[in-house]
Amino acid sequence: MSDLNENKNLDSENVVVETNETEQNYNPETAKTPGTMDKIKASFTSRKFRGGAYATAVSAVVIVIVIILNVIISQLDLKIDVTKDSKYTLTSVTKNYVKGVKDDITIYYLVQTGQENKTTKQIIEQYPQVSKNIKVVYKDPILYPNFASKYVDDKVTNNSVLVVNNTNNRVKYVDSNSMVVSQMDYQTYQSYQTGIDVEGQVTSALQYVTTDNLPVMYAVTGHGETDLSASITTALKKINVTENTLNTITTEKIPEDCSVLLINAPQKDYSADEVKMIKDYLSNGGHAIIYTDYQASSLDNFNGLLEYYGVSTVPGIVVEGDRDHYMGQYINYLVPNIETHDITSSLKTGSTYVVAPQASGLKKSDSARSTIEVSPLLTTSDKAYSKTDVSSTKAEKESKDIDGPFNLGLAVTEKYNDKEAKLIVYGSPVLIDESTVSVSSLGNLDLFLNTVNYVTDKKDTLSVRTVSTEQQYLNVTASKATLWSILIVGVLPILVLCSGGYVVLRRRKK
Amino acid sequence: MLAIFKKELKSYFTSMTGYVFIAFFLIIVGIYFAVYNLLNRVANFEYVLSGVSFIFVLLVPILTMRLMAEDKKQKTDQLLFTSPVSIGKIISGKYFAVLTVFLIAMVVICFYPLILLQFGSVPLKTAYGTILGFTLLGAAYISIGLFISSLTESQLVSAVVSFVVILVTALMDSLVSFLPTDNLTCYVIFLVFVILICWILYSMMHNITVSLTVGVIGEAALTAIYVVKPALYDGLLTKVLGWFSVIARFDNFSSGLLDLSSVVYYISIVFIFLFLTVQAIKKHRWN
Repeated sequence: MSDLNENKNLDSENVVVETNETEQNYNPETAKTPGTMDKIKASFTSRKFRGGAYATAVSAVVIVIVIILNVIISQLDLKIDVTKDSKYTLTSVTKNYVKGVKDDITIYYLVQTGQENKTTKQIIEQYPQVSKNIKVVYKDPILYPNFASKYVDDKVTNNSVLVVNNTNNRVKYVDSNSMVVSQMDYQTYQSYQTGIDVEGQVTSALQYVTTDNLPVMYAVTGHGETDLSASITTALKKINVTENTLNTITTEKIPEDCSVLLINAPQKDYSADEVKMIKDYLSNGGHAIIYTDYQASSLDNFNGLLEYYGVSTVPGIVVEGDRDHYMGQYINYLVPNIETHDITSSLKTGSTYVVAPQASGLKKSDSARSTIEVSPLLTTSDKAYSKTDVSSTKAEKESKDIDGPFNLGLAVTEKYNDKEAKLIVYGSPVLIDESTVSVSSLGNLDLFLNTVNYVTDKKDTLSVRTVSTEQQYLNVTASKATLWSILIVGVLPILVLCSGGYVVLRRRKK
Repeated sequence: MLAIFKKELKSYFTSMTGYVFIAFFLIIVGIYFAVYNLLNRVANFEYVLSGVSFIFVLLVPILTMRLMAEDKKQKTDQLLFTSPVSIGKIISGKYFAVLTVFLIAMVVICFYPLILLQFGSVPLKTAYGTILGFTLLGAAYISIGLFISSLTESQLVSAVVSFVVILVTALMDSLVSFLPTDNLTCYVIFLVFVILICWILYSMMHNITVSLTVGVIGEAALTAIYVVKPALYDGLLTKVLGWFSVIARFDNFSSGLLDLSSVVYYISIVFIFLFLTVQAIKKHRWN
């Protein structure tokens, strides 16, 4: 059959050549063109070509179909997140918030093609799935180095995110470093990654560009107040609270835009005018968070302010007598009971502990007005006592010491003339010290953020926790490890080889 | 197909080939398992499999080199191809036989995460997701090996080419990040790609006209796109080559993301290379 075909082909080629020759005699000028044309025609009829063309066409069609199928499937974006803490899935907090976004938002992912961070990519690509008003655009910062400068002054880094609200032109830049949570190992002085915070940062940026009235916190200065620690500043930024300082001596009035007044452990007393100014602010529906320090003495005006809102401080430093209520061997590193309140509810459900070192006790004063409502946040055990002689070397209770229990945190609200003042007082400035808020296993940072959210009336508290990337370990004893290693690496493969050898040898004998 | 599958599978287990492959495979995985999970007490089994993904570079060529090349050399392929069974079925039979050898090794490995359960909590979902991805990765590599084996008569050439190809796909993921992403370079490289495609077409069909036409149309289309919307070329090279990075898809599985598109991708790779193997053998026939 095939031979026959070949002959036919040869014949037809011969015919072509012949006609060429005859044509050449008549018109030498046009002779060349039909000649090559026919050669081309002939090349289409050869058996080699037909086989090859058919195979090529079929292959091309099949490959194209497969590629199209792959593109369609990847558009469907069907993924199952099987990680332990669902690190590639948006939390319900974000989903609920994003659903309510009405503005036209573009999330620019500033990344060099091929260097995308898997977690960042997975997380940000889920935002458009929740809301039609959000779209994600990839922009290569190497190819378009000036793109981001249209929106922000920051120097952009690879793998960072820019959230742009096209409706009101508000922009928030999320740096790639802020999406990685790391901790310093104080033995090697090297920082290592402990978690990922893509969702927390991007959602916060989204909240920033869509919310008009963002809370502003004023930290009072001028009386030896402690500055806020780095972790607190970062955390405030994440919940979109602008942080300012306010020198109450030189100001006339607490600024209009002040949502929270922070008084962090003053060492020197306030003047009567300053106290009056703060009282005015609070009675007009202002809010304050106050931390007291046991070391500061003779703060009569300042204590007067607290008294005015029904809080009195107990002199001395609180020491716990109950083994379950202090940390390690430090009897003044208190681990207080967490009372039920809006501020503490998330801590209670998460059963996290708060550490309140070097605290002074707080009491609800008996002379408080009837409009004032005081509720405890943190309390000590019944066995706690306040050491009035703070330089004493005796840990045991002495005769002059004051018996507990004490409050270590109090929430005061006063409703008056349709205006509600909120005042939260904590007995220990170390509650928000870097040494306690940077420890992720403690609830100190959460307590602070919850407090800020509570006083600023942020109902949709967008506190998305970071996803821990810390390594999980097994409890393998050395002997068991050796046993299983020998079994897996040695015994099992040898068994396989031996059974192979047995089969082959038996076959040979046959 | 079933008859060929049985015959091939039997040949693996009546000779030492199958046993040696499985034993070698278990030793390498076992060493990583012992070091990661048992000695360093890490709870994640997925680290073991992402650590040993290079194993395919070494083992697949050994497993697939004799598949087609052997038959060709001994001319037994003539017998097979003149039999009433279609080439597609023969190839599938051979493929599934090799795949079965690999799957037997994977079944043994499925028990490893369970061993760890006695020592604490193990993220089993991620572990088995990774095992699934690893199996698919292996299946894809084996089909590539089979295709390469069908192109040559020499087992050695087949093994070396498979080794190089799998090594390149394995390294592709890290290599692409160094490639230029600007649109001009990408445009130029795609022009070269079109010429390459023309050359492949020519070698398949031996027809200059078709190759030239495809070439001219291709280059013109690329140029038109470049003139109208050059931004389309931004990072395109990285994206296209990244698509061929077989191992990059496995990272999804080992980081705990079961992605349907990755599963479809691997099955597509298997299908395309089995299909190409059939085409290559058919071509061998008419040449």
